[in-house]
Amino acid sequence: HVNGHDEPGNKPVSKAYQMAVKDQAVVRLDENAEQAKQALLAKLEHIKHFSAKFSQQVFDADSNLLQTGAGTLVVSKPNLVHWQTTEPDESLIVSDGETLWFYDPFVEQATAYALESAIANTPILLLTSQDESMWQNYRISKVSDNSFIVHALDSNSQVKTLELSFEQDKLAGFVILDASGQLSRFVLSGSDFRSQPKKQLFQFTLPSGAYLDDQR
Amino acid sequence: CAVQPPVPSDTSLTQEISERNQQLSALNKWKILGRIAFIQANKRESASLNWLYEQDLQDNISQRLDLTAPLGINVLHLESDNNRHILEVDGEEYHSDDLDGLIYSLTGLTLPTRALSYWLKGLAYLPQDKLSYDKVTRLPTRLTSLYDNRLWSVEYQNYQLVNQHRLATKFSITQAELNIKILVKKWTL
Repeated sequence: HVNGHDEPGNKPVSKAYQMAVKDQAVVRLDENAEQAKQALLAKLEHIKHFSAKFSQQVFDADSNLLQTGAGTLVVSKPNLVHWQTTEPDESLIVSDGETLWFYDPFVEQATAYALESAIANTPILLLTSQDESMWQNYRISKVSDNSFIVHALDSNSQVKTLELSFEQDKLAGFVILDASGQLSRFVLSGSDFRSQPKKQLFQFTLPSGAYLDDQR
Repeated sequence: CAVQPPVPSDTSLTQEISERNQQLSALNKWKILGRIAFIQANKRESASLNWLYEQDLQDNISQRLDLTAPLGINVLHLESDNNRHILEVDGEEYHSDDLDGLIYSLTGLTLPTRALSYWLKGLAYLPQDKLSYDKVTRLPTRLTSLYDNRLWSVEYQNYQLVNQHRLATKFSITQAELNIKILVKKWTL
């Protein structure tokens, strides 16, 4: 090291200059993030609703394949989601625009969350939201014209990043990276971006005998 | 899923008790892919379960256990090597050489992890653990234990043949208010 500076061989620079360069970089970063966000919002603007099958692969932090999954995903703006997982186990997530319902038949229980508070841990809901303020707790980076990464700013959010990939303005898949480093890759198939999904898909009624865990 | 009536005994699974005990006691490397639920009076939680377990001849245990929520988000990650355990929950990492004590301090659940690794094979952990067997298949239907001076009971609902081993694919462990339901989708030996 040259008297304490990390980069050996560089001529020593004053602290102030280093700070200025760092701020410059931060400013450029913010501009890119703002441009990336507008580009992503423009892409999402095209998507009013869609329904698709999904296949899922879950990798642990050392990229061992932990499990695979499958199901159907139906989305409609604003804030309407029907996410039915059939593999490896049955579970259902429904957002009716106000409440996010998690139904787990294995324990015969439905958990209800207020939608706004649920978005922090289910950023996929951002796909359905038209309220730009929902995006404020996320930073966007653009990987390519067809791939964007949504970074959670809230450090204790379970989901660290959500990568969205498109094919000609149609969502083709997404990758959820969680705080423990576990990664879940979803690939969409048989997607229908034209027909309007049935309204009943976004209504949830508690199955008889099921337990309600109301977190609202 | 409601409690189904006891599954009619599948005679092809019949195995003599002492032979099965010997065979399963020698089984010290397995992997479970399935689902686990923790049901208590006021709280029910479930997750996908991935459990890799290996016990060597010197009785050292290495294991890796992952609980995953529906969106693929990790709920709990455990790595054990001999008596060194690393547990990751809610973004925090904990190290301990007393896994049961660590799980209790974090979740309030008393989970006898060593005993569980015997019970899930349908084997007694304590010499006094009592088992009852299906009349036809001779496979365990129920186990009761006074581990840690609490009454534990394990119900085995159905079995599968996995490379000549008869292993339970649905069982539930009850202790007072706590009921742990395990559904095994895939045993890998």
